[in-house]
Amino acid sequence: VRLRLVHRLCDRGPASITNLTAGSGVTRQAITKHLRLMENSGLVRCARQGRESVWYLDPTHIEDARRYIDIISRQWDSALARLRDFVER
Amino acid sequence: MDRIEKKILLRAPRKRVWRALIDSAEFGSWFGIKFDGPFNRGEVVHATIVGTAVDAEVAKGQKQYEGLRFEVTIDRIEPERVFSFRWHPGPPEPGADLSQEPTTLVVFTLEHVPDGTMLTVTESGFDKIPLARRAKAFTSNDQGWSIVVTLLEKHLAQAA
Repeated sequence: VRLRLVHRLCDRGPASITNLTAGSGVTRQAITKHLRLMENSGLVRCARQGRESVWYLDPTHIEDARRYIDIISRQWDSALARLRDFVER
Repeated sequence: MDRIEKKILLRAPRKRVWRALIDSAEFGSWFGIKFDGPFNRGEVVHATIVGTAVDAEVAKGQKQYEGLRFEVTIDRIEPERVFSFRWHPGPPEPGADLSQEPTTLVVFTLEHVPDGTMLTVTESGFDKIPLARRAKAFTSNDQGWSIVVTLLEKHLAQAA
């Protein structure tokens, strides 16, 4: 369910609970529960728009996914520090 | 950005640093892997992640990958000067067939300096690594990431 919600938000942009529930075959309560869980893990966010809450994907995580090189770079820093300890001891 | 370059001054003779790189058992012990055999130019060596013997904290982080296997293709061996190999960057993925995927080239260059040895490491070829593969580096972080990865993959599939 969560994955479908993410895909949906990704494909069609921000959406309200009503929109997300429609045609999902899942109850509104269930959708809300999943959205709240994802909100806790920082994946989606919620904004008030008039009377309705609109849900959207938090772009920061997706941005992070591009920082692949940074991760590899940090792994090298750590590996080389280990090499230094190894040859200098 | 296609490459990473690192420089580090090691207060040890070049001979010592060279051994830590070229002796596959020594390389494995600081890196946290176990190689099945020695490094020979042009040959493939299989490796298993075992966790580093040097740093307990890092070893803990490597724990999730323990037992995973990957391979390294040895490129150049120029005694006490250059050692290079090719591999698939990022954490290995169980059961994934990487044989058709591009590799990155890792080059260690040793240089004698008054205080010891200046070691330069470059890893290049990231431009050719598929985005979906890059995203896999994040799957370990937390469960949330697996969703992001799937999402990215879908996006990339659409873009392709």
